[in-house]
Amino acid sequence: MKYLLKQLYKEAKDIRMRSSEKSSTRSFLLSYIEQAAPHTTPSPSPYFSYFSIRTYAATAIVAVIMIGSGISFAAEWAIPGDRLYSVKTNINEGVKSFLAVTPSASAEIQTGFIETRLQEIEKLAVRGELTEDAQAALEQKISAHITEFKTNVQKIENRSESKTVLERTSELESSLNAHMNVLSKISSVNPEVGRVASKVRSDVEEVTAYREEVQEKFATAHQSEVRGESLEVKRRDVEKKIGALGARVAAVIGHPELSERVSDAVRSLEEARKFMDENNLRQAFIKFEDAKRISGEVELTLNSIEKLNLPGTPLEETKSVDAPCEAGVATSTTSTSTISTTINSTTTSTTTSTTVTTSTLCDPVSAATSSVDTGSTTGIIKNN
Amino acid sequence: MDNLTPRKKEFIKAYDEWSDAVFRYCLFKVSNRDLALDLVQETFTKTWQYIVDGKKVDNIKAFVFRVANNLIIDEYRKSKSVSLDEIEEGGVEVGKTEGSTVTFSVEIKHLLRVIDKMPEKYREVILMRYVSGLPPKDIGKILGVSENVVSVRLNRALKKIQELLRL
Repeated sequence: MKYLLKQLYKEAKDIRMRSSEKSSTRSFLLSYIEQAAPHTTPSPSPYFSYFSIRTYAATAIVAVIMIGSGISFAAEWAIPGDRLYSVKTNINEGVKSFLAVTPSASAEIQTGFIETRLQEIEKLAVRGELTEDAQAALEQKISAHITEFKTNVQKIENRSESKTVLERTSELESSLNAHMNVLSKISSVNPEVGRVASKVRSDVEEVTAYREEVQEKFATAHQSEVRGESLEVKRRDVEKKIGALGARVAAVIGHPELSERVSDAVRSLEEARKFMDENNLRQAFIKFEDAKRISGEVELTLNSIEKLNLPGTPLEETKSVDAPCEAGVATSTTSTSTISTTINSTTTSTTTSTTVTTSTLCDPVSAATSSVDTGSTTGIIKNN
Repeated sequence: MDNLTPRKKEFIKAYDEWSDAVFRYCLFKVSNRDLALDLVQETFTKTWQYIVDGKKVDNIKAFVFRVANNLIIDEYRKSKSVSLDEIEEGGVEVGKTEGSTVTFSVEIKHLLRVIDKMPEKYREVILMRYVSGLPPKDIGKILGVSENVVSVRLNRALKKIQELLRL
């Protein structure tokens, strides 16, 4: 027992701040002790840079009142133009920013805010309520969140934590990509979102280029340690995510590009596993992160498609051109998509069949009663 | 450094001497490297503010740990509690020096899991004693209890660990 505790002390003693971290905090303290005066509020840590302490306190007091009254909860669903929208952006999001004490958590929070703003644009566009002013205000907010994201990522990079930079950047890329897809779909019926769609496209390009740069740095950086245990956790998470996506993608009709993206995620997952087997943990981490990013993109796209009830590729495209069109004769064509992934040594095969009864499509009178039957089967086949 | 007053020199010396131990304690309590670094900085700025406000600090080592402990308690109120297991499994890099990573032996990982399951009052004395290497007298000052109470808690904690490890 004594030996164990001595051993704990011995092993734990090796845990210390990196010399760069220790000297940067020391420099901060040296300048702090030169400036600090009695009975003043201590200078905040550089990681608390959004508001002054006084603003935090005021925000916290108002937040407590709002939360207590249920206003804060109700405001979560507010969109620009609603009376509770300012509660959502000033109080709810102010509290979230306050609680994110590290640059990494702050970057994550900013990604969430960017996503929320894009969802608001999409919601307004689908309702036909996206005014020029609202679009301009939301675009401005998105730019501010992106700037804040970059500032935080820079802080993480200054600490030579390229692994965390890669994770945070991948999350933003995933979210921007998903909303670029959704906005493109909306712009086909509602051209007014074309401007924001092209802005998001250029943001995606910038973030992708940065992520690739970070990936390269991470692959060669001396300080980028990857531990087998944490990779195992990542592997399980990604497998779970992709596994859940298979069935969801198969259940939506007319968005074939999503199946292709799931296949891309599966390919990255398989490559990651291969690198893991070869004990190349850094490359495995990069590939797991790729799989996570792509599957995250699909998941977010699906969420928006479902929430906004977005139409996919018109079903008529799957109809045979030569199909006879006689009243009373039902002719059916079937479109089938299959996603097959190997997860946890099992093969998950998800198949969706979409049957369109063409007789109803030919007859405009009976079109009102046209039926689209969707059957979905999910089977797990052991891969021995 | 040379142009600093003796009080400032003493404070910076305390930082040089105790910052790693404070960091280690914070990391084991919050299981988040970035947060632990922030807590170290906040601990020392609060300590200095206390000093310039004209208040007396008898034992700076015990004082900084006391401040760190209070900040950690505040942090627990703000966010969910985290487990020591996350140090092992959650991908928390506990950087040793320049980029290398500490890997605990299997028996220590098992011991940490056992400590993690213990009530907070036992967990904190064990971490202060066997992770930060503080004597019971200093632990008493940090927690605001007598040295005797600390020794009793340590003994009970060790018995509990023995039971859980079935030694």
